[in-house]
Amino acid sequence: MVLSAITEFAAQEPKLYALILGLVGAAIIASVINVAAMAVVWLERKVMGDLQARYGPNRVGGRWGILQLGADAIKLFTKEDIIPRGADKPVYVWAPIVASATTMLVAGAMPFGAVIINGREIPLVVANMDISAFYVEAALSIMAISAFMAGWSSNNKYSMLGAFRGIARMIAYEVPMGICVISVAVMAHSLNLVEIVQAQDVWFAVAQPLGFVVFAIALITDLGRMPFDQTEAEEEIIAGYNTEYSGIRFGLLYFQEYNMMLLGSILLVNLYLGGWNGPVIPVISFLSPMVWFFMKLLIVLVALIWVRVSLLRFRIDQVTDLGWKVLLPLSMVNLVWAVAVGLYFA
Amino acid sequence: MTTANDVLSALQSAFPGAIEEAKVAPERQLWATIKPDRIVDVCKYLRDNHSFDHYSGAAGVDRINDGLFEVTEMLASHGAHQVVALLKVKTKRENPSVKSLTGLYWNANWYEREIWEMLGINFEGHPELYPLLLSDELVGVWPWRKDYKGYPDYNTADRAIEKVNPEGYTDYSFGPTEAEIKAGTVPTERPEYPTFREREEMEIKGESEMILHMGPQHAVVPGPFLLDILVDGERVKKAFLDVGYIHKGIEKIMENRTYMQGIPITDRLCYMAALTNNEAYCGAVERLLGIEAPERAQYIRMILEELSRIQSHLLGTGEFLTLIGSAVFSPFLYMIIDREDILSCIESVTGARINHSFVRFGGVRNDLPEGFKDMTLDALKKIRLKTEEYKELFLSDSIYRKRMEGVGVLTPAEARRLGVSGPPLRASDTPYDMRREDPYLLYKDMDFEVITRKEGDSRARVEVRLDEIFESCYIIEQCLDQISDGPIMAEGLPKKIKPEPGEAYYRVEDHRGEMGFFVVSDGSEKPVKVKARGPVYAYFQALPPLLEGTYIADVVAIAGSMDACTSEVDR
Amino acid sequence: MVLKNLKMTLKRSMSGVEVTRLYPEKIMDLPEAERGVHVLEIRKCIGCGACARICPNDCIKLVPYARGNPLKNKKLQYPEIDYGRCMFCGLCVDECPASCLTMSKVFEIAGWDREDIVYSPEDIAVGFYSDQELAELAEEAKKAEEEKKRKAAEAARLKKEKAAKEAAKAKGAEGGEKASGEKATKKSAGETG
Repeated sequence: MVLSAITEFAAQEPKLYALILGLVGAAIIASVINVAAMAVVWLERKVMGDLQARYGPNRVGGRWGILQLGADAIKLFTKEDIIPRGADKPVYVWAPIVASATTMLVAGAMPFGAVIINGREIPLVVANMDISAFYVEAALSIMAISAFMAGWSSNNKYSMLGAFRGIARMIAYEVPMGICVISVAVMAHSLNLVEIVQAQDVWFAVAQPLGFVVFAIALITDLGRMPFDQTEAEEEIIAGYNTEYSGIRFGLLYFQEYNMMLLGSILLVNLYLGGWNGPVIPVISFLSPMVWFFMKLLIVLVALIWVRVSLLRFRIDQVTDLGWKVLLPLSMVNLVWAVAVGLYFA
Repeated sequence: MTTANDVLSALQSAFPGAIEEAKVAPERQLWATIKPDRIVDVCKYLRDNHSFDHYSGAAGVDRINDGLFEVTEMLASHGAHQVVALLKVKTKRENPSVKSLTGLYWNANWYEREIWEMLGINFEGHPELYPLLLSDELVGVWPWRKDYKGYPDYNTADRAIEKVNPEGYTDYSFGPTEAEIKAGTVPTERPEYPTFREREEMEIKGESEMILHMGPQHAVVPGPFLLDILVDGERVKKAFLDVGYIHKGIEKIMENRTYMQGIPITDRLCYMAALTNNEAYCGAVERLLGIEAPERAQYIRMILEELSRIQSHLLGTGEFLTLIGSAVFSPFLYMIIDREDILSCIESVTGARINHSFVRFGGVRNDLPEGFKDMTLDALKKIRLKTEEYKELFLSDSIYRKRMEGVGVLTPAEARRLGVSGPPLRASDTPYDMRREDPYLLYKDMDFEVITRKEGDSRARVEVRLDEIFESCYIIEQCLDQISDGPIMAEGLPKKIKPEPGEAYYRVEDHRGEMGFFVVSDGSEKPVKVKARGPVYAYFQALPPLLEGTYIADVVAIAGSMDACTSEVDR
Repeated sequence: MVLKNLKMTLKRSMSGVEVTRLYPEKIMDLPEAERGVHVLEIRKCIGCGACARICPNDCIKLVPYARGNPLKNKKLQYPEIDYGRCMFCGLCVDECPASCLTMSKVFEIAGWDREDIVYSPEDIAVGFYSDQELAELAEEAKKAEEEKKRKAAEAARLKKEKAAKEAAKAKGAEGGEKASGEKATKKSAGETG
């Protein structure tokens, strides 16, 4: 009976129905995504520990340390709120908020998988836009603005150096990333992420191997992970742009970094690894695309952690060299390849 | 090969009236007292004609009973011959003054600064006589004099004076009380010199230059020392270094303890290299006592020192990797895991993992336990495999090579002029190793190579250390083959150790370079002076010229590849 | 390029070995030569104080402790060690002439106060005497004491007799027959009186 009332309401006032649906979806995303970021942090600590022949967290919350992140979050909540003397107060206070807002912006347009109801695949996405691939990639780059705000306003030489390095890195790597997204869109004939996933009978990682490698490297750089984490190189500039942050402000910046890692991995999976495509598993056909999606996501996350643990850090001039002199020409080559192959198979 | 007697006769013929007394003690050491006004000429003559181009150190001794200060300069050579010249200069206790050797040897700078701030001896001609180890409040107090009455008591917090400085921060300072000024422990007149901050700010020339502190409180600097770099963007223009943040006063402590009680204290000079510190001290005192350890004890000492060298190189390389990667870089943790095997071997003999205090005068404390040989040979097999893997890893890792090749290059001439020793010197094509230059224990019977490299950059330094691990494994295997049964302690050792009055200088090849102990005794049961000449002192002195013109990210690569241990610098 | 790095970490994670230990549940096995908390053999200690004199940090003090052996340790004083200052160097073990101080493998000595980590002789001792043994030892000590007193009194008496005999001999050699006889009788009377 409730279902019939809702469908009637949808037919009568389509715009209001869409708005309410959007708000409900946004509320769900906003509350779930941060918990998911905590799960990613837990995964990182455990996998890092395994690769380094040690246990990760293993006391809080039983033998697997599941509640460790909860304990860390409680600790961050209860710390004193310190704003350094001489810091630019409005900018200092807004930088973590801009970071959180960026993740919400990105999460709003990203499809998180699909469910199969009555033989039809319904993608789980809050805002199904026609240009969502382009929009997501542009929104990802706002993260650098928040790093710059944090670094500049802290009245601290280390943070300033971190902010400079962040901007230099972002400018060098947004261009190859954008060109790779366009190459994918050329092959899929659409910029809508849902349609890109549905167009992947053959994974784009196989059809555009060069693009896959270039995009993966550019993604690791954009996320600020090793071997490209110069903005927060602990040995030279203490903690880079978040040196002066403590308490819940630091908690926000820290978790947004892992949020971005999660969302960036989902973007990689959707663009190149076929999203939630996969043969339908008979017993749980309702959730079968989600199972494939999570498996691919897990592999990408573990690969990111594996790379972090194994590689050294570049120097900042070597990073920009790599971006302008190596990745940009390669992404151009990839674009030409995509156009040629797309025309051939059209 | 020139011998000490040759050098002595050449000196006596060239400077007929300048030498007051001279002797040639254990074969290669020449001890001479030179008249104060001829010391610079004598050293110049030795440097130019007899290739004494290595300035090893200087020690100041307070002979309060005779009313004199003595300064002993130690000169050696980088491979031309094996003679060590120890030239003593005497000066009165009122207004003491000695000619400075900084015109001849660049690295005499810090040694003379330290003697000035601790004993009050003025060095004429020294370009920058500023305090090194002491803070500004203690200059003028001359702590190492024998009649020094102790530090003022800074423990009472209600004496603190608060003052708000122009930037808005509150400074706290302590003034001296009347009683302290009357007792003479606080000087009312201090020597005038520009402070460290003023000296730095004199060097800022442009609008875009700023001083970045990789200072005493930094996240990952190895040991607290003050490193300020003047940067323009990401390029370093000049570097300033100050040490003394963990000055524990070990040398003065050892003057107030008997010889035997001094052994655990020498452990704490550099806790990673505790066994070689012990060895250097015990060797010097054994020379004063005129005894020698039996053969089995010498083999045991060699085995343990080489094991200690392996674990120190593993840790040094691993710590350096955290400086160019993050602390989660896995090969660092793998090196720590391998080091555990070695530490278990050492622990089964000495009973402790770091501060061993194992070497005694005339022997060692414990004998090797059952099954030591098998345990060690197993561990060495694993170490060989793993070190081979690490070398291949560094060869093939292109990020590593980009960060390390061509960074912080020390040319051979520069390295010798700056006075470094140990792996950084050997990475610059100079085969200078104390185990060959001044053979102690039974190293003259051992077959090993001195590892050198030609390039002199950071990568060469790390490679020299990894190759030395192989040589140490080989030495240990030879020792375990050749060791025979016997006593571990010399016979006829007196119950109370009271050596004859005299001086002794003993050098060992520490894990980081050349370490020497200079012990002066006057027949009582406590030494008059113990000076520890550490290898890392010279590295720190050589760091500022090396850092000019590099990137900020290279500063840690260079400082880390030197494998510094601040505890040894500050003593 | 960087593939060797990746391969190395992967290999280590596949081998499944964890090098760190879950500490309170598993404690490492230490060698025999390990230098931990001291162990004092009460039956051998002679209270000489060599350990207190050699300690570089002055952490050993000799304190009175009643349950000891008064035959070996006259003043009944035994070492008390302050672990807040001890650096576990082992010099006291090397110096002990009776070889009664050794070091064990115990290393967990944390406490709540500074007084908690000052270990009195009772805390570090082994081989305690039971009450009966103590009583026996006290008896023996008393007997030895009395024996000594008796011997001392005997020796003093013998010495006095010897001195008197010699003086008498000297006097007898000096004087004449009558005078010496009179003097001798007087003297012997005086002595016996």
